[in-house]
Amino acid sequence: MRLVKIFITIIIFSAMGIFSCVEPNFEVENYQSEIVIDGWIEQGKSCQVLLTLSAPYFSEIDSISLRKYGLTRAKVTLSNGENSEILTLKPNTLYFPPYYYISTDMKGKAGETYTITVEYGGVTSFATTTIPEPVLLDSTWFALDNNKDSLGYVWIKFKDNANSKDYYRTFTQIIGEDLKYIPNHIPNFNDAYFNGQNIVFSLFKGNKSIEKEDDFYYKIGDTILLKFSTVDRDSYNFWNSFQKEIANTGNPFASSNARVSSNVTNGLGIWCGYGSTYYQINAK
Amino acid sequence: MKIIATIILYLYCIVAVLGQTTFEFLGVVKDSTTKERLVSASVFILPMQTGLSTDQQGKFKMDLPKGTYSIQISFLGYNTLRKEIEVSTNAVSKTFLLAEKSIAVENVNISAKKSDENIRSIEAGTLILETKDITGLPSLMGEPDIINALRLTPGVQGGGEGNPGLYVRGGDAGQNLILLDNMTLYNPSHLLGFFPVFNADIINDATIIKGGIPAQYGGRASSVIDVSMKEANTSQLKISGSMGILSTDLAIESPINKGEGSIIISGRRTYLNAVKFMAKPFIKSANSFFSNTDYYFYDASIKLRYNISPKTRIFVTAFGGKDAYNLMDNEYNVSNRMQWLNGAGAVRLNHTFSKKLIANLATSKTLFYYNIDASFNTYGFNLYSAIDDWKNTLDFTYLGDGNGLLKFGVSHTKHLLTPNKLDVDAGEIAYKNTSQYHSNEYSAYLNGTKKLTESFTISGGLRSTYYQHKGPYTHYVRNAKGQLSDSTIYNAEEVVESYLKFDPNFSFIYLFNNQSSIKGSVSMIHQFVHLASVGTVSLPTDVWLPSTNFIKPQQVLQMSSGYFRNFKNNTYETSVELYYKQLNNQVDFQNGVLDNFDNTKIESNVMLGSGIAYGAEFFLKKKVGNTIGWISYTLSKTLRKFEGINNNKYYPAKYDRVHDFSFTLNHKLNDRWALSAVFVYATGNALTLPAGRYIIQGNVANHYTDVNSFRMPAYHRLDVSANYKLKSRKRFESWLNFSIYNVYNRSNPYFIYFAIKGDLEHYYLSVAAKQISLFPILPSITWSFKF
Repeated sequence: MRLVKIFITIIIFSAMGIFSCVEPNFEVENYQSEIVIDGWIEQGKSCQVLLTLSAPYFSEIDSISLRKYGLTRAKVTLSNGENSEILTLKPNTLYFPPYYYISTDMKGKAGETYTITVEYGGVTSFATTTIPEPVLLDSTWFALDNNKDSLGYVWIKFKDNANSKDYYRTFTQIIGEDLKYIPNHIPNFNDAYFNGQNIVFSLFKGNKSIEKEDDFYYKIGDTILLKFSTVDRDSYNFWNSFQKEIANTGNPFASSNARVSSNVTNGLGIWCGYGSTYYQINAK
Repeated sequence: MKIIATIILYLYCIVAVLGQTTFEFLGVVKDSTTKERLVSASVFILPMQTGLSTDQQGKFKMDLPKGTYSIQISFLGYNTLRKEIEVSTNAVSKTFLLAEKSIAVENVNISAKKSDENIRSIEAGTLILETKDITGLPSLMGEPDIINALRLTPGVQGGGEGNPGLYVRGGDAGQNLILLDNMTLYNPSHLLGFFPVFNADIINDATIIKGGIPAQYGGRASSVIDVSMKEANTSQLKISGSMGILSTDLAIESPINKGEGSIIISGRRTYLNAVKFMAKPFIKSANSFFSNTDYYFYDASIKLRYNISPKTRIFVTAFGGKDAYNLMDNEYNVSNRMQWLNGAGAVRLNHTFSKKLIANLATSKTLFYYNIDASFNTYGFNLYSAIDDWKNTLDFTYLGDGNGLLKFGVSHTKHLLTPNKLDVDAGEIAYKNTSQYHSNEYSAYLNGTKKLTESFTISGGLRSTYYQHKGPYTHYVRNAKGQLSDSTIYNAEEVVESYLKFDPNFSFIYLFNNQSSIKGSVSMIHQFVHLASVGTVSLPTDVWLPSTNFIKPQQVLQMSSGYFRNFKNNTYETSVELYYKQLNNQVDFQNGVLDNFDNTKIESNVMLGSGIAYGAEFFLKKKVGNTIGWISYTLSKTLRKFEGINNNKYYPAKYDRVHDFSFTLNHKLNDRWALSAVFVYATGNALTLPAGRYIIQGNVANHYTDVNSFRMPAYHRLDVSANYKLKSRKRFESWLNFSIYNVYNRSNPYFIYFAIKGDLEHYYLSVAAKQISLFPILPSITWSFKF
């Protein structure tokens, strides 16, 4: 009888309990690194461009190799069709890599189209974006979650333009906590469902980790800076697909056909124009 | 009405008598003990050297000049019967009883068809497997699986580890018409294909048609898998069943009203709970995966036949199977429930108008659904998807003068599809979304076979289908920028979109001699419901979608031909078949299932593409002797093309198999012991992997190059089993099956994911591919019996 029991246990365990896991080998032959543009331009501001190279998927990245992927010797040109400027390399502490290219003379202007050209190692990459007209919010406020004592969301109210297809992207920065503007949780949306309407939205705090429930909330006492931006269609498509890619990586139940779109020719990444308006909300 | 029918019948008889120069002889072939009619038994008139086989009702008919003849009737598994018959008057009818050969149950018959059926039948790309064929094969948990056995034949692939789907000649899992006694079933499976769908006790045979699909079938583009349930014994009560480690099944057959009717009822249930209870003393952790999970399935079926009149019979059939899986973890407040159900029921009237004309009138209902319930703390998620069909058919079979056969009929199917009903409750956000579609398929068909000369036979047909997508439905209109600009609301029964499609088919066979033949076919098929895969792994959660104004009906054109040759008096059967397919309007989800939130309709998430598939199938089978078995090898290519993917070039489909090889062997040691083995090898599934990665705003994104440009490791596995026949007493027979699944414990890939270690803030990142496998080596023992 005991033997039978053991036998049964072995079978059940092997069938139901232990899914085996092995490490298969995949070789990517001759992966060709591509120029990655992570750049933006906003009305009234200089443009900023982070340049890197893409890395082979299975290569290990450490502090030494990471620097190898940061591009510091590229020629980067900004142009609005009439004027152009070669960008200057400066150090930055907010983003990776620790250098970026910025414009000193040219500033962004709503309604204008800008092209960025990157020349590096015999390859020329370029991308074009437009700064859409910024949209003013009617009001912003903080409200507590029904079930929480001190946690809540930022609310915004605005009227969508009925005559255009509009794409939006939102960011917040908590003073004293965040060093830069961080995209909200679900930061990209468009007017497909509210074209020309007055709309009220709640914004969840953006966070890298979604494991803790409370991370979607702002809390009483926070001084919140809100950046409300309009972007063009190509930029929206990039950010939307990028967001999905980040969320779905490694999930076997998500389709692997999803891929990040890009407005960069001969490269990867995004060159994005923002038409932004800024607000401050004191959570109380 | 009855009077008119009688008059027509009389007129028919008069005409028949007037035109006669020979006498008609009618025969019925039955099993001598059970009185079951034997289908496709071969009948041979010795002095005339002509032969034919019995029809679906075990009958045969021949016109003979007056005289005495020696007739020989044979059927595999039965003793050959030789008798003298006298033909002197018209319509002489005689019953022939064949005695079963005493064969041990494990002595597998590869086919009960005529020994050269493969050479002579017009259907290229058609294969019939009988339950008898597979009872000897090794099987997971000791249960013979007829669907699984089909995968061992050329041109038919499994999807890999944990995938219950069948992929026929480059088609996808949703392109197979799966019929159980004419009831349509949608992706039937139990636990990732771990258990057979159908209880072997109730299945007679399964026919798979891969090419030249006749017009009486329709609506699925790649194949027909026609599973027929056994008809119950009409002379005595019979009970059979089996007990395995995880499940038990039982079937009861009984005659009704002295053989006027019969009924067969069967049921099966897993008892993991009981096993879990027994295994409890051996599990240390109270919170292990094992103790938190619960799984069961059951299925049941019934088939009833009754002779209402000598010419009219009624059949009532039903099948139901349900799987349920629960995962509870109180520590982390996680619960996950998943259920799926397959159910179908049918009533069929079979009427014989004349010796040449038979009609079937049937109505059937099919329901398939799955439901996933998940909760984590205060978050709740519910996803429900269903397909609900109601089908009415009227089919006629007209038997010609022995050289021809005509099938014609009409059918109507009403579909109600609920691709997704989503209910999300995440504290502040509550989201509900239901998409539901109503549609109709009206079809009419005609298919005929004609023997032109002794060695040349052709067959052809046409099926036309009028498809309607009906309201209630809201049609959203978008402008060039993809912006919602207008919507049209359709009320119930209002036609939103309609399609009229024609499916022609043609096939031929040319016999070189008694040992070899060449066959060819060409066919076009349209399919109006689509199975879209929602992830990179296949689960019962794939979604069925209707044809709408967005989604056009699928269209598949197939050409195939084959050379068939038997050796050594039909001991060896060989064939080589080639096929080429053009697939249009193939369906795929653009961004996976997780994108359902941001859309007005699930169908706007779908993209349409095309594909081509071609291949060569090789088959060698030894049919007679103590050692029997077959080798099957398919060399093929399956490509897809979707706009915007891989620069609009063709790329390998997920289930593209360059090599697909299987080997089965049965060896009878003696009257008690029989051994068998199955080996399969298949090229790994194509998959998309990132080739590189890059950094945007401190986040790491994957850089994909080409879709499906990588391959999973190859799938291969060896199973062995031994059958031991226990001492039998009178009518009671029983035997033990010892099976070992995956003998050398191969870790076949279920899915592959990547583990990323480190983060950019600490300037360290490393990536490793991990592969999850499901089924390790699994021994099992099953006791089966019948009396």
